[in-house]
Amino acid sequence: MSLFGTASSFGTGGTGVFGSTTTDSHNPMKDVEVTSPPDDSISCLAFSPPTMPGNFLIAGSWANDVSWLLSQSIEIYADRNQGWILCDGSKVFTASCDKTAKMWDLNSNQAMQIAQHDGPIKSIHWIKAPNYSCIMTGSWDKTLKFWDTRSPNPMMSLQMPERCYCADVVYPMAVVATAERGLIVYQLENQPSEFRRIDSPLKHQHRCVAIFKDKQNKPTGFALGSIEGRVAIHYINPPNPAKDNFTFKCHRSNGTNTTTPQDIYAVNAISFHPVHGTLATVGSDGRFSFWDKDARTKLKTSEQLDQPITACCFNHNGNIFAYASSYDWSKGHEYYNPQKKNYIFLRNAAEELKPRNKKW
Amino acid sequence: MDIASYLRCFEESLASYSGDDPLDPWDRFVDFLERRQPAGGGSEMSLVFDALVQRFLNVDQYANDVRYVNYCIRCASYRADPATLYAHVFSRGVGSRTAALYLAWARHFEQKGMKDQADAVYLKALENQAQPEDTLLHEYRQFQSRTRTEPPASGARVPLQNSQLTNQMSPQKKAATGSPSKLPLRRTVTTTSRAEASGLQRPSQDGGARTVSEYSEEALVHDGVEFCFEEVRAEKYFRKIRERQERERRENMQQQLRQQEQEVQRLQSMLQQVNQGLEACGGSHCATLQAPIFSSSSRSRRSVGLRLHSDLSLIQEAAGTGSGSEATRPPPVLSDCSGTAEPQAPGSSAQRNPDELGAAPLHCGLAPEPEEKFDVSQGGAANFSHVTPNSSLGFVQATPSRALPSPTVNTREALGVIMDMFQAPTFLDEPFQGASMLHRAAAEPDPDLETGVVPLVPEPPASAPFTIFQDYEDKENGSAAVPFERSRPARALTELSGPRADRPNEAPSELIPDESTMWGARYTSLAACPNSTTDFAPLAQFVSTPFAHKTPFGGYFFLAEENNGDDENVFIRRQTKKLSPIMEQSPADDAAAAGAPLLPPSARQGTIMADGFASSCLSMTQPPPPPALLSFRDQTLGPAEASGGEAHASPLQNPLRPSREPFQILEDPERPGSPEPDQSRLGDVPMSPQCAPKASAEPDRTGDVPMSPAAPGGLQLVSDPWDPDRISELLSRLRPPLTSHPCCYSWPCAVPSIGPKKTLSMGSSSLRVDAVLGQGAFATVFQATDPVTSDRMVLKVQKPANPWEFYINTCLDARLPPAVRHLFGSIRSAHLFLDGSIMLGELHNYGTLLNAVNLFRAQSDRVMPPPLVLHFAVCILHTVELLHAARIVHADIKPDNFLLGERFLETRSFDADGVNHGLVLIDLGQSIDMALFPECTAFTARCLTSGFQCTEMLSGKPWSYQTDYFGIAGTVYCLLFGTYMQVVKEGGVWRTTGTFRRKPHADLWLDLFHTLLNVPDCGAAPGLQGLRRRLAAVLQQHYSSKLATLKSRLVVQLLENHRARR
Repeated sequence: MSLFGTASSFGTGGTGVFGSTTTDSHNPMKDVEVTSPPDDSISCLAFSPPTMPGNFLIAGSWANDVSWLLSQSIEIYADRNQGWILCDGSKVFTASCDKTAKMWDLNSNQAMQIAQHDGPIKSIHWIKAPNYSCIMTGSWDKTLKFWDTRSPNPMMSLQMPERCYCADVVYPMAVVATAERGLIVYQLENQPSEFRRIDSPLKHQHRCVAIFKDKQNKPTGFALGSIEGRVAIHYINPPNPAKDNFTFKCHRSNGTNTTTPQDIYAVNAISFHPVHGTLATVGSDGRFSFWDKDARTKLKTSEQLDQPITACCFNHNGNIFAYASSYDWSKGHEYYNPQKKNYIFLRNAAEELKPRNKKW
Repeated sequence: MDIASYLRCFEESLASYSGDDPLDPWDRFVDFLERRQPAGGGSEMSLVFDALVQRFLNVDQYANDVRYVNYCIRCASYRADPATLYAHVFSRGVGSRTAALYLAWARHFEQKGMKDQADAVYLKALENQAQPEDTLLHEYRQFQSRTRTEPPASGARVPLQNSQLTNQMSPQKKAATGSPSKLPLRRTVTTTSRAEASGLQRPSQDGGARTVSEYSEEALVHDGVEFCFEEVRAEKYFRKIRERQERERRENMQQQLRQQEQEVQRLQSMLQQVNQGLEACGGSHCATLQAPIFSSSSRSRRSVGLRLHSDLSLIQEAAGTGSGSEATRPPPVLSDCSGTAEPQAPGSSAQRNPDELGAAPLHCGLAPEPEEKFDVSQGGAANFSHVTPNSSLGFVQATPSRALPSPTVNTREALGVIMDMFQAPTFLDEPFQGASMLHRAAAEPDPDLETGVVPLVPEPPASAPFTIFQDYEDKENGSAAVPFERSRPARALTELSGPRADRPNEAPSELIPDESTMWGARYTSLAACPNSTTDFAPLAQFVSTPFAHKTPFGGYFFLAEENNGDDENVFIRRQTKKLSPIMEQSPADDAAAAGAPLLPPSARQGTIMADGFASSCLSMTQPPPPPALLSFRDQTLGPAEASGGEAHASPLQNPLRPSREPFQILEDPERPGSPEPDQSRLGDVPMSPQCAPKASAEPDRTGDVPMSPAAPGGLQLVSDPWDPDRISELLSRLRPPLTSHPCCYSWPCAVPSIGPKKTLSMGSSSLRVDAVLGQGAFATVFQATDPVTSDRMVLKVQKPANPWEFYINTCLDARLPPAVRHLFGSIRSAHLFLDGSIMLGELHNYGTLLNAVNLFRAQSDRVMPPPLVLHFAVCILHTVELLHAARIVHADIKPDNFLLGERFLETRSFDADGVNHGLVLIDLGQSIDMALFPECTAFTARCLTSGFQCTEMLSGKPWSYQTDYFGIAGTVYCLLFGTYMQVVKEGGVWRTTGTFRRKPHADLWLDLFHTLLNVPDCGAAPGLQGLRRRLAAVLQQHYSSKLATLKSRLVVQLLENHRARR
């Protein structure tokens, strides 16, 4: 059963060059395929931090429905700040539907529970502040908790108005997007505290959020993606809010043709390029797009894959763009095809994400 | 001559131009050309302009030069598509603030009929505040009036147009090929609008296009609540989980019922047997056996049922669920008994609580496990807690009460850190916070002890602000000798014997009764202490080094565990595991402890007690030998020494005493020296209660010369380098006297009272005392700030005065190269009072090496990573090497006498010869200046206050620098293993009891310890440099890449720890 194979006119465009005549559009961009990807939908991707030599990619997946643990999100800790437990390897933090978060030591291959919620945990992030370091977990139990991995009790628990849907952390800022279009910004200096609640710039359910930085490498705003093919760029303290904040459409079919209805897909993930500050969005339409938010231009849109793209990320120096194609459950259970293979692709991102015009 | 050749000539001539305005010749050149060719030649002029524009395109100087901008405009005028050129030069920053460019650009758009683009250019010009502004505004107004008749550009489109403008100006190579009119449109890929929800919606954009959501909208709504995709999926997942749980529960329940049935049958059969037995033996037992007596089957059945029921409820209680009420419980049981039970027909509580029933056995099965585990640790505790742990080893880990301190305190601390950064001179109240925190930490366990219930992990209050989890190590700066806080052990000890408030200022001797009763009460195996002074000795020793105040907590901790053995808290168990290793005792020690109950205090502290020595004591059946303060040079040692000296009269010494005189070369009779030592001695008398027995101790001390008959020929033997008389005598012989040193001040008064928040004026300068860093039997160390310079330093207040430390400091100043002086704690000035002294020293903020070791112990690794140990070992060897080269024996080298200073945080170099490693050796108060003694002097006294007693002391051989070698070994060992070094002599060779098998570079370490522990004699130094080179080579070879990471990791921990402490 092919869900998204209908738009084959896009998918098969480039295959002739390579002499391949297959109609398989699982990899229309001819990117490097990661071998043995997870068997179930890939929910998140993360590269190893710059402190580790080489680039290691880790993929979080819904484990098969039978298995217990299903990772919603993964954070490789130890980056951005070296220190803590980083020795020869690293630790991976996983949050899962079983209401726990675990710390998985890659060296010993042991997982230790470090957090407990009353509901499935949807987001997990590592915070390294000068005076503390902790794991932040956001859950569907409408709380945001901060954990020292050595203690069974949270260092802090913050109540949220709704279930956490997505979050991002770039010290000293954290942003959490919740159900019912809630949007909360936290400041993390000294100790985490709610900084501001923001009226959503989007009209539909929030699906992904990513913080971007300014020229001084300080977090200054975030990009928020909704399930209805739109991304909002929102600055925390813009000089001119009406002008600086904007939204743009993405992951839609036939953008300009108004005679046929436009198909709108969910934006599944947003990731900012660590060097250029440009961003990548991936959607249920099976495409990824690169954007320059400052010039307000689209840099590139991919051909259409035959499955939604569910996750994406850049490695620490921005040379590699990884994206995962698997079912994102946007059409419910009926459309879930366990036989469909998942893929993770790697793409050279060094050039394609350069802003076109540095001056502006 | 055509223009092209003119241009060539001109460009050649340019090479010689050396002015600062290269545009100027071009200007004249163009002028020249234009005059020559007033008309025509236009296409050729474009060559010149092209060259000109190209040449200065990247010259910032001309970016907004009107001349250059005009040339750009003229250049563009020759182009077919001026907009491209405008955009191109503009993209390079040319004319961004020059109105001319915008005007030309906008006019071009206007001519082409592209009003929107023209408008955008005007807006951009306004935004960039192009000059001259009035011209610009005028032109813009003109433009607007010209275009007003046409459909106006709506304000809402501005951002959009901005982006178009941007697009249009981006990549010029591509743009140049397109036609100008299409260019902006072609590049408009993104249509951006304002915030979707708040901004105006442009009907043409949004309203026109029909959209179809490519996701199942109905799936995202559940009972009116929106769901995300993951929740849709999770719902299914949860349903499956629920179903599975349901199934398991059902199975469990059935199993439970089956078990019950079997149990009933078993009981019935038992009952029958009993009944048969009863019948067999007649009525003789009727009186004693009550239940079975009713031999009618119905009664007996009921009794079985009841018993069964009570079992169940017991199980339930054990499981802590206790939901089955008494009333509902019996029926199913009874019905089972009567044989009517069907597994599916419970209908009563049995079915309602299948879970609890299932859980009950589970819990029962689990319960013993933690208990067992705790037993193990209790064993460790019992083994250890009547040991006064070696203070320098300290208690490594945070005990529960410290591990989760009250959140409010932490918050305050965290705030304090921030405040501190900005208001360095205003942290006057910190000490009090710190004190109260500690006090609370110390006080917390008290009620628990009494009630026997210890909440090991206090649940943070619901309103918990933000507990920054920190293992509070000591709050010691560990600056100079910082002997330690005496209040802490005192409190702890007394509390063990009963909650009795103990004031910090109580003289140590007053503690003695408490001490002994405590020991006696708690550990009955200990004989009563016959001599309170001997008992004081271990206490004093315990007290003499920093970090010992951890002990009380440790003690509490284990007590608490005993009381609370069934605590199942995983976290705490983890903590225990972390804690216990440090208490491990070598079998040798335990053996010694078993044999000589009184010995352990010293032996178990991790101070080194050779087996041989212990057994010799045993054979004498003497009172415990004397971790006495035998020769602590600062004269507070009186009592300990008195008793210690006697106790000491061990086989070694007594026979040898007669031979003392010949060797007593330097024991000059005390003669009145400079007034200063006199002062100190005078101050001595009223000050320390220990001084009372001093007189009687005197002869003993002199007799305390265990001469080794095997003393090498040329060796000058001196008994006790720390002998107070000798010290004062040495000081008095100094020329010039110490008091003449510019930084040494004598005050004809008593030590002013010093405490936190007090301001101290010494002469012209004043100091504000901020906090107590450490307090001990001999000295108290404060942190102080100079209010003028905001300079922070430590004040070491010592009673009686201790000028010796300052003397050593001056020696270091004089003998060490200035480049390496910072490797040793320095004293800025010494103030000698009648009854004490105050030394101002450097503040080193990041704790001691011991602290670092403890930080690692708190983690999963347990020990410091080998590369770091290697690094520190290299640093330590280097430091001591330099010290010895200056003819100073430190004599108290131990992990807590190495401080980590700022330098440690900053340096990135790991050079073996580097002196910037940031490790600072402090506490030179016990040091020996070998320059004051004749060449080849050796000592024979046993230093019992130090954490380490070198092998020579243990075997009664004379020693000099060896004590430092031993100290190095002990320090490195501590880094390596996280425990204290124990040494044993085997086959004439001293070795440590550590197991090196699993350590990387075991050979290297073994060799190091062998070398340091087995120094042949005082003349043959083991060559620290060679050792250091070897270590450094290994470090370089194997770990050069890892070291930086490991260090930065440690630095982070130190910083966290440092902040948390304050």
